[in-house]
Amino acid sequence: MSSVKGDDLKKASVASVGAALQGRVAGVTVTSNTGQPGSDVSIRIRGIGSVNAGVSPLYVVDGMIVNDINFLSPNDIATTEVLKDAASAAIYGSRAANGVILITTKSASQSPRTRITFEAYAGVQTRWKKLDLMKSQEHLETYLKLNPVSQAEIDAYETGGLNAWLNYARIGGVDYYPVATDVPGQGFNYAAQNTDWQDEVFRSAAIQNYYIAIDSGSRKVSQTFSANYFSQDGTIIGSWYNRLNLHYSASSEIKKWLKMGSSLNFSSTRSRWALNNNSQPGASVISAAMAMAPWDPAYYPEGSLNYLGEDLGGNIAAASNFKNVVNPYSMATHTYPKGSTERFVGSIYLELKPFKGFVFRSDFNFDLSYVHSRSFTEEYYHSAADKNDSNSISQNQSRSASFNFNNYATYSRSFGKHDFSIMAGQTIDMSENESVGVGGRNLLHTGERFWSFNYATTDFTQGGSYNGQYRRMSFIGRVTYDYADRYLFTFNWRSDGNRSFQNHPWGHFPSVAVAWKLSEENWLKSADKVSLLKLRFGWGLLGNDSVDANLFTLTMDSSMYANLGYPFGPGTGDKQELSTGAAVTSLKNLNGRWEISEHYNMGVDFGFFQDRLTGTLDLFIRDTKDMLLARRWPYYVGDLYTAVDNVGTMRNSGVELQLEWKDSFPLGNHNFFYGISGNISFVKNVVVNMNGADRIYGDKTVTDQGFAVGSFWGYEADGIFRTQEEIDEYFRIKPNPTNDPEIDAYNATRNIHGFEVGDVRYVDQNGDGELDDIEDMKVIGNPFPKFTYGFNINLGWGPVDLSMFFQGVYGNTIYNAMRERLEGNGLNSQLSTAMRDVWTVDNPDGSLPNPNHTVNFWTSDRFLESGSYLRLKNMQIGYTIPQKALQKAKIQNFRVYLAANNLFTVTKYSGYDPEVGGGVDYGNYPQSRTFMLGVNFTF
Amino acid sequence: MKRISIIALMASVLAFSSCQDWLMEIPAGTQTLDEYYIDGQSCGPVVVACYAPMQLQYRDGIYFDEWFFGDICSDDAYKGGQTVEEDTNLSDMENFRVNADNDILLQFYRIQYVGIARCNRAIEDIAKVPVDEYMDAVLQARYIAEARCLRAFYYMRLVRIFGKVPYVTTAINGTDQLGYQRAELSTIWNGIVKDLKDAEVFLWNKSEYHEADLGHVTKGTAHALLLKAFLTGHEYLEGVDGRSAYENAKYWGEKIVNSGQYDLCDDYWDNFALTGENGIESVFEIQYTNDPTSDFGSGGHRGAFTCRQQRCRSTKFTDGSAGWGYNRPTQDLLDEYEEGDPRKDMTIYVLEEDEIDNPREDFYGGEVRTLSLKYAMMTDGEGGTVYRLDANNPYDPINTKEIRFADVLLMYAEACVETGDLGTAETVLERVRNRARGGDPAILPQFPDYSIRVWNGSDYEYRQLQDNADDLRAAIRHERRVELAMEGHRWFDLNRWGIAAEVMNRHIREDEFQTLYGGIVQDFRKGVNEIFPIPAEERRLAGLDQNPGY
Repeated sequence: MSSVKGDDLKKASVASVGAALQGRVAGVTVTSNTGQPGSDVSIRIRGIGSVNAGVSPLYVVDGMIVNDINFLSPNDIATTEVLKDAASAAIYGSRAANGVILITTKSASQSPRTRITFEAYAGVQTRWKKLDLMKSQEHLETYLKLNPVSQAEIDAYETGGLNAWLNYARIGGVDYYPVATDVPGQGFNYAAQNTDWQDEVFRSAAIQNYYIAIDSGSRKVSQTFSANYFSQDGTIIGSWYNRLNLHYSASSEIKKWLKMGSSLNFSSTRSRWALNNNSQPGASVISAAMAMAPWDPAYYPEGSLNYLGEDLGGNIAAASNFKNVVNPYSMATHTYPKGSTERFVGSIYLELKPFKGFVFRSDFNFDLSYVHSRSFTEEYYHSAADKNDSNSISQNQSRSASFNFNNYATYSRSFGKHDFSIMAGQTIDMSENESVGVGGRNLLHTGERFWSFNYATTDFTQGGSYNGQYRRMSFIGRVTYDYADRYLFTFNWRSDGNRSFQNHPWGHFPSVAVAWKLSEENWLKSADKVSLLKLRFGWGLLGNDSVDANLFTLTMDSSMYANLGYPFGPGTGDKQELSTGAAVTSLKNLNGRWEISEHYNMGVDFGFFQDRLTGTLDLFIRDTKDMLLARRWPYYVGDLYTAVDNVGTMRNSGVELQLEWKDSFPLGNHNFFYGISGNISFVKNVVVNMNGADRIYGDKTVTDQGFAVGSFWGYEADGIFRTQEEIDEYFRIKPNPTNDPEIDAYNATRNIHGFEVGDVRYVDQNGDGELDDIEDMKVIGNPFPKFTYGFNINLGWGPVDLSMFFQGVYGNTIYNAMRERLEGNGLNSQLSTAMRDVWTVDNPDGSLPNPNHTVNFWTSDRFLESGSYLRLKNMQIGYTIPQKALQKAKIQNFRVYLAANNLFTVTKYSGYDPEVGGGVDYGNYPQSRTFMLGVNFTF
Repeated sequence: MKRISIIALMASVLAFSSCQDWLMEIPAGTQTLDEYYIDGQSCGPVVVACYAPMQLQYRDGIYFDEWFFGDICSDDAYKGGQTVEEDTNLSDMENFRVNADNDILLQFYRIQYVGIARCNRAIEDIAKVPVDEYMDAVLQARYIAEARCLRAFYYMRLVRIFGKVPYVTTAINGTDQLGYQRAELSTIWNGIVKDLKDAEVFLWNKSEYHEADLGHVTKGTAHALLLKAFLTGHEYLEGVDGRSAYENAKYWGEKIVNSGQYDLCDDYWDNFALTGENGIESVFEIQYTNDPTSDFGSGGHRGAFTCRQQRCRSTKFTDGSAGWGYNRPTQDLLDEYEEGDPRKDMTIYVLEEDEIDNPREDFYGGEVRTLSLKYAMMTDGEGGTVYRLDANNPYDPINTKEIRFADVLLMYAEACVETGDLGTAETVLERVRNRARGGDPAILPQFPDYSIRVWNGSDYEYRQLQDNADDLRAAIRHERRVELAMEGHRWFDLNRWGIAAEVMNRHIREDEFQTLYGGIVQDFRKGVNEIFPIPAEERRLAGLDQNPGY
């Protein structure tokens, strides 16, 4: 178990608790998926434990199990505990296989006084990196050199320049382009234009956060209330996020034997999303910006006449090179997508202490969430690709509600040096969710007040889902015993029932932990340099039940289509009526069970030199057994065919180390305080056995026996073919002749993909002289790092404090899919300056292959780059105004600080940002560099 | 305090007992399989879904039409298409180089089992649904009979192509019901016959179906399939009901021939026109319609590919709505026709130079000028023009004539010859020739007053027929080839007659086109190439053994 204090999280000055955890805890890998404000991070504890069931940890906020913790304000967090091993996570049995993150929100202390805290920061975020791209003229000349264009096209450029070429080859006679000309007022002078599209879509953006909390305590009742408003604009046009949090918690001791309390969290968020990391060229703002030509302006100026003499001035420009792209300004201007979420999470508890040593606690927790997204797109026309023929609206609403009800009885007693406790408990939890969506076109009124389905007049769509409920029921027991605080022993048991596993609803999860505090032994107690030395060992089973509720339920599909319906009757002409058919179309393995993971943990906790040096070292093995994998059955079962079955095994093993040194000494008038703490975790993941299940291909990835889950899969590039002789030699090798000489002769000349000089020479892995199938592909990289680390330096001298927090990963790879286009033929994207050294007939030693041949864009290690980085995540310099100066104003504490996030990054990665969710970078939203000024005061 | 404890204890005991029920309650939004069968109305769609897999000719990037086997593998047709090399799966099949990795075989094998699995479920489930106002006992029995008839049809498709296959007749609900191995041929053939005999009792006559239900299998369909099963699987079906296999074939053939439900239509061509679909001669048709939602993906296709696949590549010939030029009739087939047989020109077209765009493609390999017309829909458009095909989508509405009455008559004639009833055989043969004659007394004389190519065991001899059993058999086989040419029967007939190896090897030897372009044709290996290999992928998944020679 590791924990992070709320103050440390707050310091990160980021929107979400998850992001604030990055680099803070050994064994926890936090990856920012995108820099989009408000976006989720992915958190993996001790590696990845499953393929088909969930891989995210369980989040528990004040006792309520929730799906994510994005709705929380880092300001409201008192502590965050990460339960990594079986013994500590055991009481969450069936759902704890991926670890547990326990969050406790702030509650008032019981000291009888009132305290008001106010905190605020505001800052500006900027892009920290820019790609090196060709400008107009160089881009066009490179394009003409690389592509098989007509002589007329070359002549047009050579005699008339860029404008003449554009008129001839791209825009002539099309009404949405201004005529390319250098005569002012008669068209648009593309030749003089050099738009930096990166500057066009990136911007400086504001971030701000305001927090106020009121604590009031008395001996019997204590309560706290807080409000937080956070707002962040994105560094890419068209993206922003804001969130309001209200938090209330109270506890009161009604009788000596009766205590009750509650914690309530409300949050409301609004956001606009700029993009996704998508493989389609032009799908996101960044990739659209890359696909605009450097000679395209963002907007046409006045006097941009088209060939019909109409002035296009003021219009958003149409893409003139890659015509299928939507101008990023158009994305940000004409579409009004807005998401809002209201979330109410809380818990109420009652605690009875009827007699000494016995505590009965009952708590009821809830999580209600209401998500609404609405998108209105106005009617507009900039080009054949960039248009919306009629305005349209889509609205989606979903509601989910979860409840859990827990009852625990604990009895603890001591007999001399023997302490023991016994706990028994029972929990039930349930959740349900449903969603509806509607859409339509041709709204008669277009003002924002009318952006509703009600005003649409045509093309109505409707849909919805009712995912029904999940239900779970559990019984929990725990026995602990220790002798003189020296030998510690814990035994846990949890039994869980879940209907999703029809034939095996119950799972049982035992765990044990033993520890030996050597430092309590007499022979070590006297050693004053050793303040703590504790050996720990734990073993246990944990479950993973996050699968679709109907994964193991046979259901009937019915349709007029989808290979189910059939036309009967005479019909008229060539049309017959379709009859609806119904069949079971997917096989469900009715015997499916929980995924079980077996955890071993061995650790040592230590403190030396009066706790100036403290630390923890853990070794762990986490074996996922009975892993659910899709397995094909013989086809005689019917079109039911593929079902998941508990067949796979996967192992995550690793080492985690957490170290801290802190000390202080007098310096001048004040004490100089310094501390350095750090953590590092190594995790190795391997799919041990698939047991006949299908190899799983993902987006450029593979999951199969012997590899890490989701490893990159592709060809291995080995230079470039420089001569025809080299190609002939390459494709000549045929170690497996058939007994038919004619077939052999036919095969021997086969270069089926037509590799030519200037193409990538891929390694022929199976040596058969062909490059055509998975036999020639291999694992070329792993998106999951070999190790992750973080370290923190704190310095303090009287009123001044300085902290620096570094975070990094090492050993992962990123597939830089952006380069597939930036190093392409210049038709569907701008070109990287790296293309100056592309292979051509005139440059036979060029380092980049001929982009004109699709074989050169096969998934290969050519586009794989190291994803290792070291980042100064956060740096803060603070000044606390001395108490004396404040006493008159009844202010207890007043601190101002300057902070910076992502001040510098050390990386070899050539894309925008090495923090890429999923490991494939199609033009991901990068993290920004942020400077902030903040103030905290308490009175 | 004590009282509270007791109440709490009692409450928890009570809570406990209802807990398991609460936990296992079916979640809202989920309809389990049992809950699907809400009343008799729900059974109809389950039967409909049994028909759908028959239609499929494309899946996962592979075309696998039944006539790939029946026509292209036989001596009647070449693969066709753009080039000789294109579609190696199909050219491997055509040239006897096929191996177990062939994707056409895999898809064909699989889709039959999709049908079988649906039939198995329909048979099991519908029997359990109580009769009600939507489904009386008669309809329930018909539903089950339809599924049994279709199951027999799917197994017959499998056994004719793959020989021994796993014979599954129960619905598989879970992974504990696996472990099937390839069943013996006698098990499969007897299973087919049993299904058909049981189905035949409860199926309705064609005339008893409402017009809107045309296309469902009928009593006549079951009879025709029984006739075909006893002829095809005769080695394994001796002694059923105390009769020899050929006696049984004759017995069931007689039932349908004398049922009064079917007749030959007056105009031979009506069988191949949109307007003649499901007509008097139709015994079993696979229904296709022009449905704009039909697609290549998981949505499946309700229209066929046959028309666009077989239609000429030339835009000139097809009035701009060209096809892919598959299934090109051989010279050997042309040679089979008697002088003046009008069926020849209705079946085969020979392209003229001025009807082509590109000699290399339109004349397959630059050589083959023939085209198959029966499914080309050249007169189904408005006012008898070319039917327009939409780009590449599977919208062809032309039904596949799985069994038509002429086929039944000729199978019945065979059964009569094999059981020594030469008189009936001659009468039936004349019935087919008479319709083909179309009232022209100058052509297609009555048996035995004409000459044909008679197969002597190793080659054809062109000669005058004699009035004896052997020549009557030869005449019926000849008639079958020309009457049903390019309808997907020839390959199966050659194998049924046991002469496939000899006929095919002669064809390979004699055929000019094969020797010119088909340098990689292998010989037909007798005892091997009659059937195809069990697909490797299915062998791996089910641990099945392989046919000899593969």
